[in-house]
Amino acid sequence: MPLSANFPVRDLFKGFKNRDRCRYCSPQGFYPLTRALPPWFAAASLFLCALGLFVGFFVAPADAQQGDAYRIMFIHVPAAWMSMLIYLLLALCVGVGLAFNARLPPMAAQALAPTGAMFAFLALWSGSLWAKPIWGAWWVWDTRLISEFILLFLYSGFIALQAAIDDEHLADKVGAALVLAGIVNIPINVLSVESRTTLLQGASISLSSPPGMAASMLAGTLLMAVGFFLYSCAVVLLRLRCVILERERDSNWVVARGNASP
Amino acid sequence: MMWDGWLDFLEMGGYALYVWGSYAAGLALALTEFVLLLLRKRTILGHLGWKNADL
Repeated sequence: MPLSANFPVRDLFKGFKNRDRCRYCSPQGFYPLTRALPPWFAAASLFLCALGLFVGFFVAPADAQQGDAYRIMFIHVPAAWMSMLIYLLLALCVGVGLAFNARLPPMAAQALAPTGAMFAFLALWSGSLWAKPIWGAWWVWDTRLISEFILLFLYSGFIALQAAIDDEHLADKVGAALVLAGIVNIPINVLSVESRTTLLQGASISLSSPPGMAASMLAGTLLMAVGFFLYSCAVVLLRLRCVILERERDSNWVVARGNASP
Repeated sequence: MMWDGWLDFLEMGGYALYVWGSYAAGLALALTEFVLLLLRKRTILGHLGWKNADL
């Protein structure tokens, strides 16, 4: 995919000038962004992840209690954050799709779910590898772990439901019901730290108090988190491009685009 | 420099299996997701029969 050719940077904000309609609200209007933006997000993600890993492995010191095992944090915490953030975005998409009967949001939901599932799996996997040396067990039936496990199943259930129902609109509605019902899982996960119903350590990173860890550890985690976010943007937009083409393959604009000369 | 050479770095204070196991999984998942997406894109573009595959 060319980086410079066809990048509609001048056109990027045109859609917002027209008050009557937002051009990026339709699959057809949004489609050019799914072509132009992923390389930029991917490049930025690579840069920030490399920087985050450098800080995490070469700047941040070993932990006083956990030694070097704590370095799993730099992948575990951002992955867990992203798995929850993507679920919230998924819920927003299916909610807007239901409320306004819009076409693009359900497509975005379909594009978000696999990446959310991937991060939920990565959080569980890396968490398990962190738990073994520190807690002495690969898995414990703890509120937060179960909640992350259920999150993976919600993502999987949503993907499976969408794949199982041939009628796209019906699939969107049934999937939306599952995602909106499952959103109760997110506060359970977040509040389990406050209510101390989890073995996991209390929040070391909070908006209301200074961080309970070395600045370099915090920096590494945040850099990786932003890197993971940008990775998600790139991959989800790339998948959204496929979803739009798959769902709109018979529409006039897709046919016209296919016939256009390069 | 906090590590005594590359071997010390790879040993990761005795936690090599756990630390590298986590990062290897992350890398493998991201690469798999990316490659599957490129294949999916190729499939749909081929299915559409577009002349210019990069539209």
